Amino acid sequence: MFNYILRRLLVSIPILIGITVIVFFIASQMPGDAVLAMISTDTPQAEDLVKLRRGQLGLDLPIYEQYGRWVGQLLHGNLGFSFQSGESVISVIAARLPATLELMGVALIIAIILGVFLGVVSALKQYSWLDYSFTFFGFAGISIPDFFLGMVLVYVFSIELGLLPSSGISTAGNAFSLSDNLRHLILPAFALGLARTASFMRYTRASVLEVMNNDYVRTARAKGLGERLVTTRHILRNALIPVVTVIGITLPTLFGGAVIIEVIFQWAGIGLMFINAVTGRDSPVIMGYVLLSAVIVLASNLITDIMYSVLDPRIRYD
Amino acid sequence: MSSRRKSIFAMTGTAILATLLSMPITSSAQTAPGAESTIRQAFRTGCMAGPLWTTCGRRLDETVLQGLAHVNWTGNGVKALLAESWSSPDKGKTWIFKLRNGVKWHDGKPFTADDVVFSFNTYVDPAVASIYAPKLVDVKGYQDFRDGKATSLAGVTKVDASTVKIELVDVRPLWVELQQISISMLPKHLLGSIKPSELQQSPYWTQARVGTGPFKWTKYVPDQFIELARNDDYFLGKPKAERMIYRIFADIPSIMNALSTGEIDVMSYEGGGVPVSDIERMQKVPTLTVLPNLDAGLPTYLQFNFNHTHLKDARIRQAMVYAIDRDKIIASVKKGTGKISNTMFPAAWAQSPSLNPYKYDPAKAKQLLKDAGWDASRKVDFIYYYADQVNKDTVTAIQAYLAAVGVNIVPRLLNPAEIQVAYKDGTFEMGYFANGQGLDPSLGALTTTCGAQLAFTWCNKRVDELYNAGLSESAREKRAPSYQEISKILNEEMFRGWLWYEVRPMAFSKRVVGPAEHYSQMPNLIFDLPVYNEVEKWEVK
Repeated sequence: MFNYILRRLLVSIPILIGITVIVFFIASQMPGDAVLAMISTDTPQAEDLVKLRRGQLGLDLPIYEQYGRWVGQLLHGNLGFSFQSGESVISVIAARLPATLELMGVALIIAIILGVFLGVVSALKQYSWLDYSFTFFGFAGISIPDFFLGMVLVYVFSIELGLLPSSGISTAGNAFSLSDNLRHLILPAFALGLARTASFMRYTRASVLEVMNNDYVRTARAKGLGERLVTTRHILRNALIPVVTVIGITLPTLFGGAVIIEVIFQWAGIGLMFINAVTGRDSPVIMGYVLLSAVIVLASNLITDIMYSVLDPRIRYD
Repeated sequence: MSSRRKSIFAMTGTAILATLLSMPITSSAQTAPGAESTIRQAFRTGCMAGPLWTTCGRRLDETVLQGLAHVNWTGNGVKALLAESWSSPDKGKTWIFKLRNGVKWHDGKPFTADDVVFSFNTYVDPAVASIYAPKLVDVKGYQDFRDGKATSLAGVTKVDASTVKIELVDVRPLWVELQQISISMLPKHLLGSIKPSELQQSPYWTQARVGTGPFKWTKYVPDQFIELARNDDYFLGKPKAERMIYRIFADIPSIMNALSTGEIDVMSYEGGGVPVSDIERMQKVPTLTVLPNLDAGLPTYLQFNFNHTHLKDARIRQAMVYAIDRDKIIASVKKGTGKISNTMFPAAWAQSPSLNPYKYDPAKAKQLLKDAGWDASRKVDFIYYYADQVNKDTVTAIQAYLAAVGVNIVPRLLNPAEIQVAYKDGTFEMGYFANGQGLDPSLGALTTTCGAQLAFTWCNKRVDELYNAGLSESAREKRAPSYQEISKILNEEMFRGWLWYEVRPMAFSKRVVGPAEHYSQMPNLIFDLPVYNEVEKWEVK
């Protein structure tokens, strides 16, 4: 097992390098650059000033040299400085990561709890009106883009009903309070979570249905176990293994989905930071985000594989 | 799970939800001291870099940092701030600034002539790479400093602790009103020891921007907000509001939502106002005051690239404007937001009274094109970079009107970051552009034609002479004839295909007294400059 993890980690290194090379070169092909993006579109800027700023930021170097500089900094544990604000990229990300993790975590919990619960009910009551209506909402949930859901939630709950704030992480300028923070979290977390709820629900339903027809479930019933025990111990335990994989593959999409939800709700996480960096052609910040998301994707794949062997003793990596 | 446990869970859940929902949106009232007297403004993202490098963060230079004198919100003259008075013994070649006595930085250190000398030098220092350096191009020694032949500005000297002398290369009667107003004063005791090339990375800008203004920097939470507290010792009197909060937004729809729900009181105007499609909705919100017709001081026009010979004949350019029913576009696509323009300057005093109005006349347009020998089979590359729906629809309408008279444009949408490239290399034939004109005709993006990038090789020596003449006097009555003549030339020549002046609708919460009143008195919105808006008098009702 240890060997397996080590091998996977080693393989990750060239993958990460590949990802950063590709992104760095694609990003450098975006029209315009940080200097031009920072100055007003309404006025042309003196040539020498643009040149000066480019020189200061290292944008006048050939692209491979810029990449070399970035890797050099990375090896020193430094991700460079934001072109836009001058802050170090590590502190830019560190200041915003907790907000994204909070949003993703709560959205994931909403998706798992609701999705598994609805999926189990749906499977146990297969072909009932409950099953049909859950299936209907499931498909609707998969089909509705989360940004649209987010805008609908803002319209209904903040603008029309005035129950919840429309954007932000907390009331600006107030001392941080958990209840205030949670009030701001409800809408974005549901917008992000509900779309994933649907897929959890469909996976759980399918998986439970499959397990229900297994011999060992029939045996459990035959030996006189109560229906509740059969459901929780024999069906659910086995049915949830594939669902764990879904959690693993959901993490990267959740990370991507958070970008859009963060923009709609002005949730000051790294997704919002990333969009601002792309608009501002702030390549040190873009690269920091890309590196982080690549690590998260690779890590969540690895963790999924490890979880497999923990949950299902038949799976072994050697 | 037993049913009792189930119900306990359900009850707890409901209770938590109910508590959260029942709290008012601005739960500030109970939690933060002085929240009743807090003004919340929207602030655009990406504008934190400080006044040396960003053009969109200048609202902070009205509350935290300040200049020697700022332009008045009414557009008439300037307000003395850190300078108490100034004079010129030689009609505008040398300027003597008397600094206001007893002004202290927010950290208690006195503001002195050393800070002024330091600030002017910092703006021009090539290692700092400030985008505002060209504002000081008239100061003696500017070029030597830029070229590395000197290490400071020869023309800026300290006379005594509260007097600074600034020498210019030539007579500039309007230097204070037009150039100096861009420059914010920086604290030498905090920034003087930082290497100029590393100045932008200093935590000063985000952690503790010490200034002299009516509000003190207390907190910055990345991408969320900047919090300022009242400066009780402010030299123009203790501000009425206790706190000022700038909430940072990355897009306009979120600003509209936050205004509707009362999360903010004042919107930002950099990067856009109330979208045309939202004006009606915002006007129905009872807590808001909407100013739908604020002049943005922004002429929108058809840009011609004069490198292309087929655009050089003025008749062709005139024909294009005759061909477009501008009133109809404003009334329908733009829902009334816009004022017809027939020249560059929005300020009435700078416009000739006898401008050709170019009323919609497709027959005349066809005749002019025919006379000028226009080839109707030609496809014209046409760039634009405003990607919102209203502007896209406007370009479509323009395309249809032009096609009707035989001018076939092929619109191409550019990313805003690409536009500077297009400005520079001129890879386009025509474009749908807008350029800030500011309050004064000589504050605009174009103040000379021959050789100016934005003129795209168009050159009119008379216009350039008139611009210079307009700067040689300080009284508006004496300056007006020069600008009026320019406006007439630009109108007849259709140097650009003048369409309309943009308006930028804004909305304010009625909870705060001050912002709506001041903005409604602005002749046009003032971009890219700190404005003296009497912020110290703004208050929460």
